[in-house]
Amino acid sequence: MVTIAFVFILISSTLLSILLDMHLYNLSFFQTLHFSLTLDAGTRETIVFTALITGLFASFFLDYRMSKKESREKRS
Amino acid sequence: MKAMKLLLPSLLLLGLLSGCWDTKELNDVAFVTGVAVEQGEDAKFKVTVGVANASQLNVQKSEGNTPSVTFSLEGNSISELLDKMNVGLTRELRFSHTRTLVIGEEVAREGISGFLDYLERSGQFRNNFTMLIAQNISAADILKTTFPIQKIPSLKVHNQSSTLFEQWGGAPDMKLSDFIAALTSRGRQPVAEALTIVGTPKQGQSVENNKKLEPESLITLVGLAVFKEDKLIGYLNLEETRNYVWTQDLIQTTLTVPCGEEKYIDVRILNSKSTIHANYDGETPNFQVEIVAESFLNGTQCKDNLEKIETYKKFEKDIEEMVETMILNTVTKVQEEYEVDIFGFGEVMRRQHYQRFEAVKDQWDEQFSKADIDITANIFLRRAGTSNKSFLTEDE
Amino acid sequence: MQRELVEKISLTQLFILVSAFLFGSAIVVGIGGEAKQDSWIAVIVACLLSIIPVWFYTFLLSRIPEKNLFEIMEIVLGKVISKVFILLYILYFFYVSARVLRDFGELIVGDMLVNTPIEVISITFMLFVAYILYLGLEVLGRFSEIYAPYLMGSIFAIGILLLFSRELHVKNVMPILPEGIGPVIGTVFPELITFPFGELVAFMMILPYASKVRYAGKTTIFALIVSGLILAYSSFVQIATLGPEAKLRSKFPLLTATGEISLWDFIERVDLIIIFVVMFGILVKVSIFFYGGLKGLELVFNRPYRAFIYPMAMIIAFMSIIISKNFAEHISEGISMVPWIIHFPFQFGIPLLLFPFVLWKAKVLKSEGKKR
Repeated sequence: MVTIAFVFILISSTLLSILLDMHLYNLSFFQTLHFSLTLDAGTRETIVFTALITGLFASFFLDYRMSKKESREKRS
Repeated sequence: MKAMKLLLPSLLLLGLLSGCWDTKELNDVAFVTGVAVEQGEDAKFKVTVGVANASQLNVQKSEGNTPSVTFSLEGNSISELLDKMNVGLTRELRFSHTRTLVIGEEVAREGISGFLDYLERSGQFRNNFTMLIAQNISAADILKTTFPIQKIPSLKVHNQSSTLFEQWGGAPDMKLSDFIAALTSRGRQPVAEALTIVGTPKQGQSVENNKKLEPESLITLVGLAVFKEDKLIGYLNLEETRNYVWTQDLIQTTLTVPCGEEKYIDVRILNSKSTIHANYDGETPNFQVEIVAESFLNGTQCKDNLEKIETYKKFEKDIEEMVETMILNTVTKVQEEYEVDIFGFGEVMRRQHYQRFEAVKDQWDEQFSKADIDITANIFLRRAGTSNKSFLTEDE
Repeated sequence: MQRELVEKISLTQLFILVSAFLFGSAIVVGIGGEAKQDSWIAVIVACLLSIIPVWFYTFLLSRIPEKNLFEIMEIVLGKVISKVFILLYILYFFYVSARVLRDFGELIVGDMLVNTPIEVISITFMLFVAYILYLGLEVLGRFSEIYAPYLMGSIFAIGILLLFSRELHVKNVMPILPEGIGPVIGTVFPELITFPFGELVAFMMILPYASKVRYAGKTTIFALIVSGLILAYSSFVQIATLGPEAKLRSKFPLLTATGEISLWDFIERVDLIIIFVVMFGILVKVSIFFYGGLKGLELVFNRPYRAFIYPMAMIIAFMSIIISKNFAEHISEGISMVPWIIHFPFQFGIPLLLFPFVLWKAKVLKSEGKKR
């Protein structure tokens, strides 16, 4: 569930910022998508990308733990 | 699992280290106390920085070496030059304690707004340093002229000008932010303090200068530099500078008022306030400047009896007349000679008659130069020091 | 294993949270600059006008007691439709907190820690926020209770220090309203009413957790007025110190104004106080928006909200960077689009839309209660 929420929020908030950027820069959707998500490789923006990936792993882990707990509760 | 539990917090602790990203130890930085900008020989600017030699400021550790080191570079932008100063200096420069900005006359005549933008934009410079114009001399020499009491030249100049402002009103209280505010305001033109070196600049450049009872060269303030937009157009002398400051926010000053033939009284003016009323009389703007001040009598050369009310009344009248003509002369001189509103009369007009000012704001300086100025001084002579009658007074 | 969360805040804490929330980024970025020397009037006008929406929010909440905005939506609109709205709100809350975080990052990077990557500031800040919210709303409340006196104290101290440094020129504020009320209204709508005052919509998620719910609305409105006045005071100080032009030119006017403080060659360089004040304000603001979003996630995905904290915090840190490539984009987005496209629908549109449904549902619930 956490993973689903994570992916959903990530995608939709990126979409939101892309929509705003589309207006601001007068670009088409895909151009903006490319433009926003290239993340300027080699700059320090990669730091935040790493953090995002740790967030993704954390949500995997949380889901795994919660499902384990649930199954244990069901058994007992 | 236990290892994980230990590892995770310790990894998180690494986050605290991000606070050290911008760390700089004190012995890695050097504090710039003054910056001088003048016309370069090969490029647009020649920038000189004066860096404090902190160890020489400590009384116990001082070895009699120079308290301040200067270095100059030439180039087209101030910002680049300041970052490049390590061509000749060892440490990273910090500008947050910069107290003076000395601008060479030639640069000032060509316009200075170009580098003022950098100074305002940069977070490193505080806006509260003194702006100075070096008259007739190289701006860099100001940063190189030593003085025995306040050892760092740029701090000396800063103290000098602020003390002169507080004691006698001979320097405008013009910081960078005020300068820029005047530059952007339609109803005011900026001014700056002007200074020069008396004596031979070369002689002042050594600590040896500090060992003389009469320094071979000395930085002195000479008055006011008048600007039109960001270009220097002329100077006012010290007396006129005081009169200018009097229309703004004078703290205290001393006047010498004639009381007879070749005889004078000295009056200390305190607690002075000036209020300006603006009005439009048809097409000509007019301004009533009202000056209210208290004063002490410091000394007299006349024989008038200071125990009599009439004497006080007479002196008060003399002082008022003198103040009125003096200030009016200064304003008229600026109106006729420079035709720029350094007094901020336009701002007063804007505050009091907004619509009228908005209509003429683009030609305000023309309006100012044809304005009628009326000065009324209201000076109260309160007391006369510690003695009553002067020994000069003859008993009748 | 996990301790039970205490989700109650006292009225004092609520008061402090509301005021810190309103100062938050508004005190840094300098609001109402377009009204020139009258921006302090604009702030007061906007503050008084925004009593209406805030009263409206509390009215909505009082119809169906002890439920927050999302729970009300669920009751009123049904499970499926409400989920759509809640997700939109979550997006809104997260987006705004990312923007606020970016404001703070720009302040720190632009003025203080020039070499530090803004990304690192975002991440460390979000880790802190995540930790606070992991401990629950009450910790946030108590945290603010401790820091609020310093916040208020330093804001007042700045004005007084400026006064003694002879930098406070009241003449800069003159003339008052030279062109009539027009420019003031122009800044009140849409700028000031949506930012910072309209953002109080996030408190629809917090109010039901106040210990004395009955007084929560009144407390919020009282806090709104007090902090509106303080914001106006700060705006006044900025104009009087810098003049309207320099205020408009400055990225962070209060910081620039504080730089002018210089007393007896002794009290100088007090800008750091401002950074502290701002950090606290931003912390509260980000936390409350973040908390609102998390509560929504809890409702939609049916998991305790603490599970979402870390991943979502990282998303916000990520968003705060990805939102805009540079400062110009950040600002122009904030001025030209965010008030209209983002703020208006969520602050006024959806609550207004809910209004008739809530009234109807409240009636139904009441009659049901009577039957029983």
